[in-house]
Amino acid sequence: MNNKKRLNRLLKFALIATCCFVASARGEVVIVVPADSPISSLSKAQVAKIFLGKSRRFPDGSKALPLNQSEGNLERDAFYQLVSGKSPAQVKAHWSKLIFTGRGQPPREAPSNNAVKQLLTSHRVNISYIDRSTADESVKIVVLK
Amino acid sequence: MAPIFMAGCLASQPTFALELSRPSYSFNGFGTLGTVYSDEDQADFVSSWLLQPNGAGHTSKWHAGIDTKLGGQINARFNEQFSAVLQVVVERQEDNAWTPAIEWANIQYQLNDNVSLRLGRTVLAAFMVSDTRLVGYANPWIRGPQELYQIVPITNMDGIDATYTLDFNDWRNSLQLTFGQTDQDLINDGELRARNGFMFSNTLEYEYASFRLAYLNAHIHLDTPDSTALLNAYDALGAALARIPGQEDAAAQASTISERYALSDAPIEVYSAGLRLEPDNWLFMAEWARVTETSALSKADAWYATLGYRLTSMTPYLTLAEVNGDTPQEPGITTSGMPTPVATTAEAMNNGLNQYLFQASHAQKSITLGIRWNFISNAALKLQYQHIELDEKSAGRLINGQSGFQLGSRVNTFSAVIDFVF
Repeated sequence: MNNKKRLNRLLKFALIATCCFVASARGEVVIVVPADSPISSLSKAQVAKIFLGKSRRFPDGSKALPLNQSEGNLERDAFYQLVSGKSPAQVKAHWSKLIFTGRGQPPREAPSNNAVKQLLTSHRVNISYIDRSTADESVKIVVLK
Repeated sequence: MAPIFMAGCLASQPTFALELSRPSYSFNGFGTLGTVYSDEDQADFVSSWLLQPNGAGHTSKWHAGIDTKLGGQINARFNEQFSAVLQVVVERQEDNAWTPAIEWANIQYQLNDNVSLRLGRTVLAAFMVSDTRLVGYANPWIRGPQELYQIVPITNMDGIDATYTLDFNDWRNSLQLTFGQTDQDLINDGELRARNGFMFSNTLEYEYASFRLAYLNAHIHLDTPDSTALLNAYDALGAALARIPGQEDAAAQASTISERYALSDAPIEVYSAGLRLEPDNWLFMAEWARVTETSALSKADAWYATLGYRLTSMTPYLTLAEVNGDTPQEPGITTSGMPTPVATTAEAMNNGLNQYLFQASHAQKSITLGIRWNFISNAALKLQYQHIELDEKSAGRLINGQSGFQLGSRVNTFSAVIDFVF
């Protein structure tokens, strides 16, 4: 009986672990701009600046308006890790710093990949990130230099 | 269907692309819930020696009024150029009351991408993390190392500041100039006034590194009943000695002392340099500061270094810090030839003066071991142990020394806080 319980628990753990693994392996985050945007490639550092409130412009001097995914979304955590190497808590601390020094407000947020795509296409200045599998013709994937 | 669908999208999210040019408002808050234990029962551990009337140790073994605070901030953006910030903080004040106070209230004008101006009450960013010193969540430790951060105990100035930011490749340079003044009530009915305040700071950032140089200059007026009484006593003694034949020199000494140590329109300068490195999971921060001698405040040098390492949600850290001052050995007035009762009084005053000067130097060093745990996304639990060694002639950053208090003591403190933002 005890052994069976233990086995059940082990199986549950294995299942949860697999789910977590699948969830994290599923996503590859890509940086996206509206399909008609002139932007086609950026460096990680340039993207990080825009999403950490350090720059309001693309390298070509045109205006950039970042759109974040909601806190807790896997895409968001993976995105910041990719471009800035910062953990969710570090990103939170960074924005706290900007907010409470009156130096900036974090980018507007969208709850999902689909919501991002809908908002993104409303203007050419927008930039965001989504899971690669959800990219379609409404967006252009930015090549990371 | 595409046009209808798109129209729907635009209608439901009309502000996104336009938000830069429309007025918008937001509210943000921060706070700390904390308690501190000190094993020194003959003096009080506080987080500000001029702004907190009592603390942990003597007043109570555990004290919750040292780090605990709640702040709220309203941000208004009127258009692309103009915005405003109002920040109100509730924390224990110098009179022991939890009175809300306006920390910042300023209007910002963004001239272009590089230049912004602020008018009103703004942060006095004397040191590297001065601008977030109240926002525990944004800082690695519970409180900025006091050896250095308490050199400038005021946090804001009323005036104007200008920031010039320049980006070149992956480098970023921010130059900030602040002009202003401030009035601050202190413990024991004291008062601090700073006039003609001028602050310069320059921060250079590259990838994970940032380097900051700063300079602060102000004329300060600091009055506490104790210091006023002591200096008044020298004035009175000088006046009395002037009437005793043969004591003219001592009389002159007394009034010189009174003038020299009165903190009235006293020019003060603070130089500082700070370095912050965050490669991968490491955090290294170090700062150095020097305050020049002025009146009763001796020249002091302070530094600290913090090393931390991030393990997923936990960050253990270690801090070494020290402040030392060249307190002048003040001979006071010469008592030879004075009538005995006057000489006794004068000697007692000389002792009092030297004690006052040593205490104003705050020399101490400490080692701090702490850990930060981001247990949920908008809050962090921090535990911190600090071992403090006071200089042999100093009470360090402790206040309310009792008769049993020994200068040069060793003090152990333990602090636990939850920092949050919302």
